[in-house]
Amino acid sequence: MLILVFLLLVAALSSLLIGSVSISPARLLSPALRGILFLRVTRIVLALVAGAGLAVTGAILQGLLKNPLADPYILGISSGSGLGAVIAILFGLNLSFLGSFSLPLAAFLSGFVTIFLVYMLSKKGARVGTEDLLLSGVIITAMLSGIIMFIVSATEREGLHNALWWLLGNTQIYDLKLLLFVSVISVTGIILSTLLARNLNIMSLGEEEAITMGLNVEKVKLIFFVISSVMTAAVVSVCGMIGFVGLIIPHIARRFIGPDHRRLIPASALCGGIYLILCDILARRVTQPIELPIGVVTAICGAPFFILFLRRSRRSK
Amino acid sequence: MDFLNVIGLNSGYRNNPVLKDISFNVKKGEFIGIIGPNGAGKTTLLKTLSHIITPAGGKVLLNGRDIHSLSSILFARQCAMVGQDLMSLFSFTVEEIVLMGRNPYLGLFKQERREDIEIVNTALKRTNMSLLKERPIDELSAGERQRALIAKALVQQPQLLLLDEPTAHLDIGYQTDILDLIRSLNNESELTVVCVLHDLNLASQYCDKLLLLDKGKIIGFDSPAEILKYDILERTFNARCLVNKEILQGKPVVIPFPKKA
Repeated sequence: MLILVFLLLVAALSSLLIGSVSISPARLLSPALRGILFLRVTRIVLALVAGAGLAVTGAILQGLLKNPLADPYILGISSGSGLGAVIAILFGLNLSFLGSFSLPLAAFLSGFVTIFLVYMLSKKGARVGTEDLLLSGVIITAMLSGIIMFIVSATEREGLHNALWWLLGNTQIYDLKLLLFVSVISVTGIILSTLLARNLNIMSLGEEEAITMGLNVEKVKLIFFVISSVMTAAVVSVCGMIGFVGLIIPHIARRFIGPDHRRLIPASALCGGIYLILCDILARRVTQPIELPIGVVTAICGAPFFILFLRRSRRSK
Repeated sequence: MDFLNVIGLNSGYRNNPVLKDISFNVKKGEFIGIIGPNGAGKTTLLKTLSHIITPAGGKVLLNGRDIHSLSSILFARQCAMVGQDLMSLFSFTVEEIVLMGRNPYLGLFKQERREDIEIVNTALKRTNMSLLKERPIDELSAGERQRALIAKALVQQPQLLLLDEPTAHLDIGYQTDILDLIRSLNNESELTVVCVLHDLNLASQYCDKLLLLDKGKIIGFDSPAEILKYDILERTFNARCLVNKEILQGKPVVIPFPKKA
């Protein structure tokens, strides 16, 4: 865990120095660069809390749903938020009194409506089946993605590029209040789920097993469902859909630190933060002067890395 | 008032009522075997007794209290369950899994204390698992894993232990190993045991009484010598068999043979 903290600091420092303008460590404190540095710091913080939030949500859902393929988007939040954001961008939903908050707000609310719908769809009496939750999440995602594709392909409005850019994920931030909003939710979610992680261990043994061990499974499911929904919706509403972090990071963290969620959740948070900060450096640097959407980088770099990682760990088993 | 009273129990799944009007009583410290053909309702009965299924009608009284009116955390302090096998998605170690058995004594936010770890160590010693406690549960043999699950049940400090075919995937060495362990736990601490068993000969040798189920109803509830009779078995299991009471000191031995000979 200490190694991870160290790696995080290294990643953050390199991100501070590398960019369209490279800064030598000696000039870090020169007043001329204050503007650039400030921008970079906000990006680093956003990448950190977004990566940590997504990775932790992935770890929670993989344990809760007992499914190694679960990620923060599997229950439909991304498609819901995506639809809200695309509509807001293309149809110019710009409530002046909300200013830069209007797009994230549209995305956050539509994501939340979607996840509520998924939850109600999988509810049978007092119980919510985890398989039903997964299935309705996947179905709703498919439907909403279809609608997003339809809107994007049918429109000739000028916001198209912005909408696509948003859908692919980014770590640019225009408003410090938004950064504060994501940071507070992400950090609170990580702390809360670490404190509750023992219950997640028991849930991951299976629901019937958990009942006979005295766990109030419906309550635990609801608590973690709410925590992960709020975290995902907050991150997605500000950063768009940054894929892959929530799926792979928990697997990698589990290899290093073991399956106990009390350590896995903080470790996933650190790994997710490191990964997104590194991807952000690549996104800014590789195709200069054009900047890549960070979601593109996480997937393109993440996939081969993940395949290699899985093959190596399988051999060692 | 007995230790466990099952009164007029109707239970099953939404469109499939499996158990019909089941009533029986168990005394403290008894070792009860539940036997019967596939689909008779053995597992449904065990799941109803273990708080997993809420019955459609009837009651299960444990120490005079309706278990389905208890919260799962209070119930889990009195009754523990050992399933057929544990399919854990993640490689928890034996010690981590057994420690989870302390859950009924911890709240949502509470972590285990030193006394919990001591209880776990005692249970690991009792089940002969101390040397394997650092091993991942999914790398153990089926028999070792079953012993770990019994240790996890023991740290719940139950008065009633339910087991669903604990010997299902085991060789004969481990079958007797596991049942010897359960029998000695039953003798030492008046732990009441209710155990679904497929193997009639093991049921005959280890259980005080057998509950024979068929099509969701009780066919008989008595000592093995009274239940394991060839005419009863041939009727309920639709099999042909021979029952011998001489070779094992009065405990019936059941030998099935081909229907077409």
